[in-house]
Amino acid sequence: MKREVAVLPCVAVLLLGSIGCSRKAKPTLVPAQNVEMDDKTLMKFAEEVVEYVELRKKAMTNVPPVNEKATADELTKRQEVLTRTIVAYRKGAKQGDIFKKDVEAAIRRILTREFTGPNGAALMKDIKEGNPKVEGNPQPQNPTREVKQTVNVAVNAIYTDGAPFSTVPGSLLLKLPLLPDEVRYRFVGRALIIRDTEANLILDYILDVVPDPTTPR
Amino acid sequence: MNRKAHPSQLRLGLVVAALLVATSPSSAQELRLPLKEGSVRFAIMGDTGTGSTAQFDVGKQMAAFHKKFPFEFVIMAGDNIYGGSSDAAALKSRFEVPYAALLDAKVKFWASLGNHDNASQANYKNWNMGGQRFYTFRADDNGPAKIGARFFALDSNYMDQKQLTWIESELKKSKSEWKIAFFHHPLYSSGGKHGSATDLRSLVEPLFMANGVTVVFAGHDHFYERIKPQNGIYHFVVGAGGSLRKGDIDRSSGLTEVGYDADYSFMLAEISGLDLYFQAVSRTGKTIDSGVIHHTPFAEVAAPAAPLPASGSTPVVAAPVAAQPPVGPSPSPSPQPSPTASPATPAPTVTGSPSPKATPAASPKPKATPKPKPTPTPSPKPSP
Repeated sequence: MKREVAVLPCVAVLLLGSIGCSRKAKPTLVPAQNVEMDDKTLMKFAEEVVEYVELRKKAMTNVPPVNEKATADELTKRQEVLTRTIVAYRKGAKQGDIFKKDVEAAIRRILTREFTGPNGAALMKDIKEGNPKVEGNPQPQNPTREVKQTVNVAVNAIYTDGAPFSTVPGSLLLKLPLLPDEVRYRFVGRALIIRDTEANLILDYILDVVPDPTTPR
Repeated sequence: MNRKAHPSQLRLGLVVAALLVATSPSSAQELRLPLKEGSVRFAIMGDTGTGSTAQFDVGKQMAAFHKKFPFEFVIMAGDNIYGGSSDAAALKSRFEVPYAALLDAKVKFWASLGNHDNASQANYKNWNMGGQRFYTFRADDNGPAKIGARFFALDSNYMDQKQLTWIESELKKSKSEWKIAFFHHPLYSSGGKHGSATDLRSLVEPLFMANGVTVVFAGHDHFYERIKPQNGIYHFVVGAGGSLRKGDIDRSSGLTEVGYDADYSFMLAEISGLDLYFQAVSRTGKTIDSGVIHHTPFAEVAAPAAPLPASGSTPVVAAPVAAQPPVGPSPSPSPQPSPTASPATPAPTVTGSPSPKATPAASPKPKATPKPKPTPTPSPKPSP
């Protein structure tokens, strides 16, 4: 599919900032984004993310606007319409549409290196935090008791409403391509997913990226 | 990971004037905050949104204390709605109803998001996030000292480079004497279930230390804990507003100054000049901890007579951890003014008496002083 170059700069430059050109001249204590991925693969990933963001923008034209004075009902309505519209627009989407084969391979390499590195154990402990296969929700009748909810890892699946979100350790985020605010990486069990934060949709996933037998699949 | 003392720690200018710990019994709804003229008054709660009876009980206590201590806003340390966060009914039953009395009294809520919260809640009007997952606002002390306090609400669940850059930039820009951060995952915690978020700590603590953050409020672990000062920063875990993990504090962690994991709880705080008074309260209205943190201006810290807390240790009077909720009558000594009450006191050394003693609170009387309005400064719109 031919893409318009015009849509690239905004997100692609952000993602490509991952290569290391984002290091600013002024002194900073913020570590540099350091993604070990070749430019071509990174660009391919950036293009897919940009394409999704563009699709999402189109979907947003159907969504009732909210402002900072939104009520709970307005928020719910907005999310429902957004989710429904995006699912309709992405009909036929399949695994690997965003995480293309070489992107997936590059991300697997990065994650394997991090999880088997000196901080690997700590990172794997962190991603259990909020991981819906590990943690549940305190119950209204007895908040000391937690009940897990099932999250179905599939393209265009709604991330189960109310299920918690895994921590994605900041040091790991510095090794992965930056994402725009509309989407985020998360872990569900041992899978890495990319999720639309507001539409609450799983857009794509890579299975078995966490080499930790104590984390459920 | 426990960092060594950073030179910038000296610039934090933070010493404890007097921390007299309320491990002793206290009567229900006893206010230990001084209610000073023009002070910044607020409450802190975390891990609230279960819709449980316990959450409602805590809400009622907060409303009762609000009558004695008219705090103007509440900061929320995340996990504001459990299970069904995009459901309007949940927002009502797990937030609007439990805190209806406070909302009716025009108390403002400033939220941060936890790992159970949906990012779309950043648009929810009652949480004043302005659509941002991280943001800052300022509250001014309109008393004689005219001291400013700036609050930084962070998204600890997803600490990407964009947010780190924003934190550093905003902290550097702020000229407020008090810089207070709040977010969900605690940098230090003795929680058996979760514990310290060490990866997060490795990224944000250097920014806090270099830029004068003095106090951090977090949740995630479902109990109350006041951590021994770490690298000159005071950390509180306030995660039992509606959830509880009884007995989850690992008291062998070496981090705990005061811990309470026997019942639900919340906190009250008051900033007056260079003093931040705090009081932690249980679901039943008992005071489980209280004290004051004195923030010394940089110039005063430079004075040789001003010893600073060592890294990883506590400069305060050692106090036994409250393993059980305080019971029985109030201690007979009436609350005494802080020995270091005057903000002008040059860099006081640590003083105070071993517990049990009354907390350093002047006779509390609600005042009709007009309260300062916090002024929000949302984070810049994220670039797509």
